[in-house]
Amino acid sequence: MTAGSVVLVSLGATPPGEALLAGVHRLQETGHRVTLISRTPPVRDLAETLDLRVPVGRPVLLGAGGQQRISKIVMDPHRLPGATQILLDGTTRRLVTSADVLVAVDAAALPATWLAARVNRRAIAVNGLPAALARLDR
Amino acid sequence: MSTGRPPHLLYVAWGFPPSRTGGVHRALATVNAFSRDGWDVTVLTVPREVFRDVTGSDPRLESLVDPRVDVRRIPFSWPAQQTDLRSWPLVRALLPRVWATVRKRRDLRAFPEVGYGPWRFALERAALAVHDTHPVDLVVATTNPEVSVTAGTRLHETSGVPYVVDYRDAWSLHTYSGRRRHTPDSPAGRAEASSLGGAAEIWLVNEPLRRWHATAYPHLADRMHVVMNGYDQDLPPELFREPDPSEPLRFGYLGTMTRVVPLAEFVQGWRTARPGSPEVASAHAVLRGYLGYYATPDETLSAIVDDAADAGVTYRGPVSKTDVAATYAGFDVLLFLLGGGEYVTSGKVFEYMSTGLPIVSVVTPGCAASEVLAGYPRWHPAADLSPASIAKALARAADDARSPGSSALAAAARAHAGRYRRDRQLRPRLAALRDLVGAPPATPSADRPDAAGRPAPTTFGESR
Repeated sequence: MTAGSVVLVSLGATPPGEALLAGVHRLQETGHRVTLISRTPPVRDLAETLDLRVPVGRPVLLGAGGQQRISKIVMDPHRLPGATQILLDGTTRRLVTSADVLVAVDAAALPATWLAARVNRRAIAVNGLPAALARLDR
Repeated sequence: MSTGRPPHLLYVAWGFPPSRTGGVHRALATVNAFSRDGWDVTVLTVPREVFRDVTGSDPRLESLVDPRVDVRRIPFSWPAQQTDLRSWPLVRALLPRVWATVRKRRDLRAFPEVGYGPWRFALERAALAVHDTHPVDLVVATTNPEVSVTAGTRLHETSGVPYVVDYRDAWSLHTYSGRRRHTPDSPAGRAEASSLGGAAEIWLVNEPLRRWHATAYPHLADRMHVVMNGYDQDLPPELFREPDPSEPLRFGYLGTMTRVVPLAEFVQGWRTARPGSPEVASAHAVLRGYLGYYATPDETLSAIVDDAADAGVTYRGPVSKTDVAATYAGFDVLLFLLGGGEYVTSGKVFEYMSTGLPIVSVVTPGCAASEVLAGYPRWHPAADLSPASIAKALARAADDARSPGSSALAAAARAHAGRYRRDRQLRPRLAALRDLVGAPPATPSADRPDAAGRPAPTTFGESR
């Protein structure tokens, strides 16, 4: 595991929680700098552990659960807007383009992380923190 | 078959070394047994990367495959388990449900098994190619995934090659709940009826599963045989030693921990036992094996293990098959934790018994593994999954481990386990299948050396 910059992306309505804590600790123990880009503030323990947290998007949900439906397809209005905002905003764009590892930590962050991986072609881009740890261990 | 050449087995197993998935030890032991019995063996399985990237792998397991076995790795795509976002198409990132629905339909079009169905085409092509260059006399396909049987059914259709379906699990029956997974007239039900209908033999891992399948397919009952998992080789006797009275006892679990394993119940029982039993209070519980089915640890199970650290329960990761014996040698009492009911035996129960150590079982009442453990002289079952029952069983096992003359007890326990050696399970089937393909009986000394004169490798172990 070579030390570098790890950017976690969370765009879901649920605050990033303690499930991430052990993984973040492991990354930091091996010298990684861990940043969280999230729509909602993380739980306190996680917030105190992270090297940096950058807020993005609108923290308040729109309508019932913030979801819109087109026929059977459920659309989360934060997914695509959140993705483009991360790439357009100067601070978050710098973070994702300089990252060594990009991690989508919830389903809503998948479009953003997928797009960021197209901009930053040298970074590892994975779905889930355990998968990132496994890739770094390899 | 033509005379003058050894019979040729085509063995199909999705999970094969270096996989660490359930059933891999059955596959390994089966191909080694056929090879030692004088068969030429070709294996069709998936590339190593599938195990390295998704399920987890045990690279040293490959060294236990008989060197005479020809292993061919057939390309296999598993997009649903792909965590590398660079390999995802745009539609998957933006509309995951749409992508999943389309993917599922594609899978089912090939074979009625989500995730694995499309492997059918590559598998059938590979089976035909093997048969073209080295005529196959018999196909043995171990499931799951069920798509493995298609190599056998295809060669049977095109060339009349007999095949065996080795059900290390079940397809139509959910072995944990005891309920049907699908109806007989569903696509999966029809595919199962068709594949079993043409099989020369159908192997099941325990008698309850054989009974269920014999009831579901009464016209095939005479082709159904129980081939238990068993264990591959006795642990060397010198591994057993009486616990050092000056040292705390070491309770150990070795196996894959999934969400059906009553891990949380065990931890509660362990906490309950400590105040009432000085031996348990001072003891350590060590958990070894993967947390979940995949290489990435299951978060729920990780949390249970982390929370139990203050009670002397520690998780020390997976164990290579080649280190299994040394791991058992570090335990004084074994913890047998297993979910599931009357159809679930597991493989590790046989290996546990082969050690001669006291075994605490924490299993769902009615679990088939209890029938296997019955008669094992050092078995300490928890009557149910309540903390009090588990605590009582732990205390009894601790007393057993400390009892004078535990070496004699261990010897008696090992003698009891001897009936479950895997070679004893496979021997009747090997003889019957030689007869089926028209090959002469194996010579009494079936452990033929390989081309370099090395003795056939022996294996030890079962699913973990």
